[in-house]
Amino acid sequence: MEWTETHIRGVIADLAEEDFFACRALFRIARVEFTDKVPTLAVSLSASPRLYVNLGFLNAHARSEDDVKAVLMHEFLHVVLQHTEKFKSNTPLLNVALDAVINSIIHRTYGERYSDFFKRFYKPNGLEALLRPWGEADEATKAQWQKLHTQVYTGAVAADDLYELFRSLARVRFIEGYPDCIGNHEDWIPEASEENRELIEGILKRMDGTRIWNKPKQYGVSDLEELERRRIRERSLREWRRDTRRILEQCLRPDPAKSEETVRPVQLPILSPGDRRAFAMLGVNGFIPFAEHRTVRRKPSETVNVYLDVSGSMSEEIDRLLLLLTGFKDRIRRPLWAFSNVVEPAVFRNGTVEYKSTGGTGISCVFDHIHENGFRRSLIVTDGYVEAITPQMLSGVPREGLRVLLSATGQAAAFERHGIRYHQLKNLNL
Amino acid sequence: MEQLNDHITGTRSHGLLHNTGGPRSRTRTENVQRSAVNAPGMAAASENHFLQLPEWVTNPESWLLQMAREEGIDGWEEAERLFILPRNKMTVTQPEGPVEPAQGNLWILRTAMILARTNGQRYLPEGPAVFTRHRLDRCLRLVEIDLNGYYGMD
Repeated sequence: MEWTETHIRGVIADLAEEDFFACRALFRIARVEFTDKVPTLAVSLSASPRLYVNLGFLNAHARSEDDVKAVLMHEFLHVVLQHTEKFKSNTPLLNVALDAVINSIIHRTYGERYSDFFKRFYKPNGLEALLRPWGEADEATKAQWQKLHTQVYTGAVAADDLYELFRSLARVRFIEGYPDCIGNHEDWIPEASEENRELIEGILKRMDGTRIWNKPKQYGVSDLEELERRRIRERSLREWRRDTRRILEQCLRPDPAKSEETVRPVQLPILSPGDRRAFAMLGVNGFIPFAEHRTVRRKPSETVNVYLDVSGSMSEEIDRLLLLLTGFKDRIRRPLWAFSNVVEPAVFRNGTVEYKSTGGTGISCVFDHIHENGFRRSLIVTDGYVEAITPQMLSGVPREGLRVLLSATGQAAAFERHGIRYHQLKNLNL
Repeated sequence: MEQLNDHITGTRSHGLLHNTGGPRSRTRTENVQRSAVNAPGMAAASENHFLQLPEWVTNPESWLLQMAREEGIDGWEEAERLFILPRNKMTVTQPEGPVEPAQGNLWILRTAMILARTNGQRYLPEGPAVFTRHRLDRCLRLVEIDLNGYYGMD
């Protein structure tokens, strides 16, 4: 692709505006020089910041603006992570270690849109494979460096550890031949001036380093895949809880016309016009005292009866659901009811629900129970695998106050046929 | 304290109190449904801009200059004299409905000149024109805020 100087300047201006890795401060003031003096790109901070760009390199390898941005970010990270200052000697193995860590940071933080450039630039073989994320076509070459690659691209390995490892592997001649790296690896680039060091420190303060510096949990020996699995499990559970809470909110929403207001006094460290004693105390000692406030609390006068299907098929969902139901305790009538073929009060002992179960599931006992007790609002939690519902079973059951909460794989047909409102839980996916 | 906790609801710090004599600072997250930018009476002027840059275009500026030459326009300076561009700064928002891409060379050129002067937040009439695909590929609604209208709002 034919890149022009104006176009590259535009891309740099865009990158500064997007402020990736808080790079704005540097790229706004850096003077761009197009030169063949550097093989790829380089940043010099010895005097006023300068960005050296080899247009030939970009013409040969960069296919899109995102590719140019990836290379610019790569240079910027070399500077901001102060590689020139930290590592005095410049060896090919060190360059690979530093570049591998930088490319993994770009991949982790901004994704394949930018790291695709490295995937094209480097081959998936040998040491070079560490300089790029795996692609779909790299299955065959994964075996050799897979474990180390995973550690680099999950941010578990620091650059100096990686360099140490490379050196020991090179000593036993496991590594032979070094790939050509992109960027600030020229010896002639002097160290940053004092003024520019302050600039870098400012950038480091603004930068979000979440995906750059390792998380404490991941230091040393740890099972990264297990950590990742756990994180996915936790996220699924969080999403399930959020969705289920929304459903419960709908099922247990109180009728605003049927709620009681209770006024209760509360002591708060905020002055209240109704508490003259607090004003007097403020005048005496100057500290804001606790003052009496009157709070109005609306409590639904009509509560919902909850019937839990304890036939065994949805035990995991029931346990998690019970935890969520505690958040709606004002809207639920106690005791909760457990049903299989008969309805029994559910008893809570040591944080778990205790009930008698006959193993099968029958819904007619629930309708009978609602009818006999004259309950106006009820919520039935079931998997829906119940006997056929007949109009006789529903006689005397107030249909408008009846809701069914079905398990993710539950059958809705029986309830749908009789116009009973139902909600379906999302899959737990754990 | 436990009794006090029962009465502080609707806040994030619900149920958690310091033992330092007062409740924790409370925060509340609310979704903004509508902003002042979209409020009736606030926008003195608004325009939608969408330029569907063809996929094959690698250097948008050269492509646009070629188009300008076809229309007998010699460079951006002349184009600036010819086109009526918004004179005031404008704020970037998302269009509320579908936007038709600019049609015809002259309209495309005007849209490109506006998009090139629009950064992530604002259209700056005196700002630098950056003709990158990143800028030109956007679909935007530019709104000129009339601060005099602010106090006239209900």
